[in-house]
Amino acid sequence: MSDVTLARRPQSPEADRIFRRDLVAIIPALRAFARGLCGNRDLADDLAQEALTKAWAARQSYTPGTNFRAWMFRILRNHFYTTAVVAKRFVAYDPELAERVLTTPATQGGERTLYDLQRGLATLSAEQREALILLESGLQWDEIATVTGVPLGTVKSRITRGRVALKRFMEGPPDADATAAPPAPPRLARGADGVPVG
Amino acid sequence: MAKRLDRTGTTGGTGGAVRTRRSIGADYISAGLRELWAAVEQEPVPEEFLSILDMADARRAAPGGGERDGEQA
Repeated sequence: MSDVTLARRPQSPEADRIFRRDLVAIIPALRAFARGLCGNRDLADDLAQEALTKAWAARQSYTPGTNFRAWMFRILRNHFYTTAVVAKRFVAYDPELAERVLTTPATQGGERTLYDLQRGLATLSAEQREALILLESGLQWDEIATVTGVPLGTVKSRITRGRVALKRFMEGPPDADATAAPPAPPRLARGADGVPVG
Repeated sequence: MAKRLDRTGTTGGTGGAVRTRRSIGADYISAGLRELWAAVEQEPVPEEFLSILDMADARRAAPGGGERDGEQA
């Protein structure tokens, strides 16, 4: 990834300094990913901070030259899905937001808002949501597979299905005129022998 | 060059607008998701984020500390 530079294994003080610099540089992206996972600012920041602490403690296990961004996202995601969710410290998505989604239709007629998009995200499965978020964060599909620990085909499926579901939420049901059968062609008058006339 | 308006004062009427919006549906969703991501990235980083690594090191340096918090990625 271009936004982080790691060239040395973090064993020396200098390597630690470089690792730490890159860790600090990735904090904004970590916060964004955490926010996407649990949809709540405070909980997301707790999640990101714990992921940072874990990564710093595990810096010896990072292999320099590999994808640091994917490594960090994987730590955060694993922490979210294992320790955090099991312990019910974090929820899969903001419950208040989810409740509003269930009781309020999407914005009709006017501009689709980012708020609508957030509400749409809350309707997706956690796997679809994280795949879409990671894709738009700049990760490639194979990198998303690395972060989420699933085959590439599964990533593609989650993204495709997630986009369809999100699009359906944003746009509402198809127009009646778009789904109606096309009009039948005009019937031609036929002569006694069955040949069209006129 | 000004766009040609129809009798309703729009460039294509309601049906055209809907078709256009739907034909670029994936684009506005992608753009919106990127905007949501960027909005968080552009927020000022809370101070505690910057001191958390120092605190982690302090805990590990304390008696009984260690690599317990470590995680294989």
